Amino acid sequence: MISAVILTGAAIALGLAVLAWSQFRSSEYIKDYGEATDAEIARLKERLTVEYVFYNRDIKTIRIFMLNSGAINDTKIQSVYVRNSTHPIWVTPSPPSLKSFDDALIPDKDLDMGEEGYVDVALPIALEPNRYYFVRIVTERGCIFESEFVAY
Amino acid sequence: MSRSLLHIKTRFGSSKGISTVVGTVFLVLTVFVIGTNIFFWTLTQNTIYNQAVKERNQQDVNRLIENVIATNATFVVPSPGRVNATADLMNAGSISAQIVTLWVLDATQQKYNVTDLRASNINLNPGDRQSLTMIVDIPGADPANVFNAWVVTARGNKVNLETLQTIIIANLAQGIGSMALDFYAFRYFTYETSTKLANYPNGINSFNVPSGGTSIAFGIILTNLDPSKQTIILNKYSQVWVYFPQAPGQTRLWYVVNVGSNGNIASSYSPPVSIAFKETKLIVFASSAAGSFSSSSRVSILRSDDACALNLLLLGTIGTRDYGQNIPFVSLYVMP
Repeated sequence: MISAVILTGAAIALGLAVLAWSQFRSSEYIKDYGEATDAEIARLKERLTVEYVFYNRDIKTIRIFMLNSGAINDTKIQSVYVRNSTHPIWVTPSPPSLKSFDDALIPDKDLDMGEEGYVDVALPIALEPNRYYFVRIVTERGCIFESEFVAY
Repeated sequence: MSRSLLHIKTRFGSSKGISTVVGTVFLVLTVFVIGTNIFFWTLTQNTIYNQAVKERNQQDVNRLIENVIATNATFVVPSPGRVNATADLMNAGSISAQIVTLWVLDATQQKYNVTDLRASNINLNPGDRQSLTMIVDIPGADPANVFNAWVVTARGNKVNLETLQTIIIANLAQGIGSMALDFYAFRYFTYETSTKLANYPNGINSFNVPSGGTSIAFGIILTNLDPSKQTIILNKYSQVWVYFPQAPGQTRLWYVVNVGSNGNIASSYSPPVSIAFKETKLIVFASSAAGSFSSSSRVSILRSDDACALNLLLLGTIGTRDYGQNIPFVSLYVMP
């Protein structure tokens, strides 16, 4: 009789332990899955429109004008790539500084919905005139937006 | 063993199986509760994600069906470094559109200007038309430069300002001068009083004009299509004259005048008529004296029942240069 009580108690204790462990694991899963879903949704809502790309030959810099035409705030620029069919990819060594169209630094360093701004990308060499170049903008959320320009 | 215990044991069997039953129930409950929770929660998350996908698709569809058209674009440089950009915007799509930015590019010198239009509230419902006029600064801009412009909508669409029509007309105008005459809008006026035109500004749209003692004036609609996009100013010697092949001595001429909105002709030609690039204006020719008008300077055609050729003789300045152009093409019949 005593052994039966002990075994029952052990079974209950083991069951509770399994329940607690399962709860912990499921919470972790829910947290991870929730974060992944939220990140995917944020990426879906993010959209950048490249309004114009201007190449300044004198200072070997391209200026990329952008509009946050998406449905989410706080779009940060992580990096910018520049390339053409023959040249290698140049990438900004660190996230470029966002400026508004009136040349002031954007304080929160991101583009909210409907906000416009530009980034300057200094290139190591002068681009070839009348060549077609591609610009790839990567946001902090991992979205990629591309545009093209002709270097004058 | 007492009788009652024996009865219980008989009824429930051995007590050694209870732990197994309890453990199994616990495990089943654990699996069921947690599994159900995760299942429904995942279902909810998937629903939220699907909703986000639908919203994104809807935004893409809206962006694709947005259709703003910008035509009749002109780029006038009233002074060096300043560009007056105009265009007619029309929402040819089925959803409303907001214009947020105007870009003007001086392609000749590769300089640009960007203007935020949000404060201008250029919001177009389907079918709406709106004129866009904006003066922008582009250092070094010159009338001879090539300009390009586009507007950006809030959805991120870029709309080019089309100048195709201007180019075609300007090319045509270049062959015959900088000013174009609207042949079909040619009109003449009679007088309501000695210095007031009757039925101004409509006049009488006809190529048959009265003769004898009826004083008349001519109304001609001109459009400045100067390829260099400069303003034309007509001086007091600008005139209309008619020539009768059968009677060369019967030539008559009417000098340009200023007319008020009520049809009253100003006594002096001041300020001179100015026509900006792409501007269309009704110009009135009424006086026999250059630079002034009075009741005695009204003009009538004496000859009757005859045909004559009407010529438009324009003089003045175009930008900083002299301007002179003679436009023929109108024939008149002077009624008996």
